[in-house]
Amino acid sequence: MKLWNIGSVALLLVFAGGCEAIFTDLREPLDLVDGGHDADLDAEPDAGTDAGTDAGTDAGTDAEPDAGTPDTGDATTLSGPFMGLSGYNATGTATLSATELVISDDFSVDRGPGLILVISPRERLAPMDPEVDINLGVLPSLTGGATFPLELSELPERAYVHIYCEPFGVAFGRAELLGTE
Amino acid sequence: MMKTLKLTLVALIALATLPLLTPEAASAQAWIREPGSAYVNLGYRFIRADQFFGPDGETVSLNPYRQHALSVYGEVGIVRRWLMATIDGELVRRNVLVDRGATTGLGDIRIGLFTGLVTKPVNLSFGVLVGLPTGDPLPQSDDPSQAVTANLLPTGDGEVDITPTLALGHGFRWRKVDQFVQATLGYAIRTTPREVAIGEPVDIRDQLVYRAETGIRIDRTFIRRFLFIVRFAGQFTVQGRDEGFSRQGVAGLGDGVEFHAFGLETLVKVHGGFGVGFGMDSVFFARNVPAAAAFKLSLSYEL
Repeated sequence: MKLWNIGSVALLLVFAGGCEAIFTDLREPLDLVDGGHDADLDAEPDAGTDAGTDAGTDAGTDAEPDAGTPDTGDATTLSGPFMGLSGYNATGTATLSATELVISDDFSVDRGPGLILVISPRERLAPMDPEVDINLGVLPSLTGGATFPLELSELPERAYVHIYCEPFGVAFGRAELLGTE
Repeated sequence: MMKTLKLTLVALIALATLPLLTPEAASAQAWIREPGSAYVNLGYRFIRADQFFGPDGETVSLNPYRQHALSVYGEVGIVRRWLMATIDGELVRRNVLVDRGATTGLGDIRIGLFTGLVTKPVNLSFGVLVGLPTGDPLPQSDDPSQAVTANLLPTGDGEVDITPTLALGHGFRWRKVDQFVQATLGYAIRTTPREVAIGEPVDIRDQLVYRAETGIRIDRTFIRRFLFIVRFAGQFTVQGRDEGFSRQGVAGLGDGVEFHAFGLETLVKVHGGFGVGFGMDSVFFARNVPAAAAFKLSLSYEL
């Protein structure tokens, strides 16, 4: 009977206080070395508030979107509006130059888990290809502008900026960037 | 014409007077258990998803996700006709994002009290279910690079909810076939989670929760041990639907989670009060939940 009472009290305490889950890392050893991402860029965004914890998706400036993409010729920037995907909303404009990616002040995207920004020559991102995709890291804010310094040797004719739920591989939004003089 | 009427009358009288089937080996909230009578069911549920229902109800590709849950459901009769206690919840919930990370912990528990309102010609009961936030809404990882993945695999929704519920049930017997039908409808009053993975916690919008099921048993040698159940069940948001469904719980928890599912289950009496069961539930429309069938196995005991 005493054991029963002790058990009941323990059960009530667990119910009342809740229970912390145990996390297990299932990444392959190769992923653990670089945090699961192969992007070799190191830049930090200039604006915005922290929208989440960094999942090892550091942004940077050394990679090019795609060596095989045609040059833009005279265009000095690429620009285009965001559109929502997979049922999520995304608005605002992305502008890419050889030195930075600028997200407009009217930018907005629905809340989502582990959202990152990725520049890619590909219209569809999933799965990510570290050979051609530039991972800019965790989206600094769900609303408002931000600037990401870059160092691109040349601008492609067309590029895409993806808002991507990295842990679950779901596309939240995309901007198709085309050349502007 | 007269012959048809007579047959119909006889059938109706037969239905009203023959012994009625109650879903004794299943959750049966419309039927208030006698004092000393109890039923407990331990279940294992498995979900294997490579797609996800987005907030617009469309499926999108998803990194492989697995969910294992060890659940419990129990009923205990307390006062004859008037009071029955129930408990249901997940004793262990394991969320697996394949090749990335997994969380394991206690899930949320719901405790309920049901009282009988009507017993004839149908069974009608009213209950209140209280959902306790015993699961972890924001699991943590010691490795900062895994913080987001850990956060996104909650084992509970992190909030207390109260669900007034009506349960309506009736049993029939026709020739050698016993049948029951049961429908439950609850209004889940949701509150604000203590923690969430994304942004500040906001109040989870209230939901309607429903289940309609029927079960049959054929009263013949051996096969009478089997109870075959077909059900529709689901939940949907009724508060602030015009706000859209962009908020999401990635593990099927939290605000904006909706589903309508079709399920099949077979319960088998093994010996004495012991039974086993197996079944599956398949979602045909949902928002913010993994898009995959749930398979389950169960062990039950009825006292």
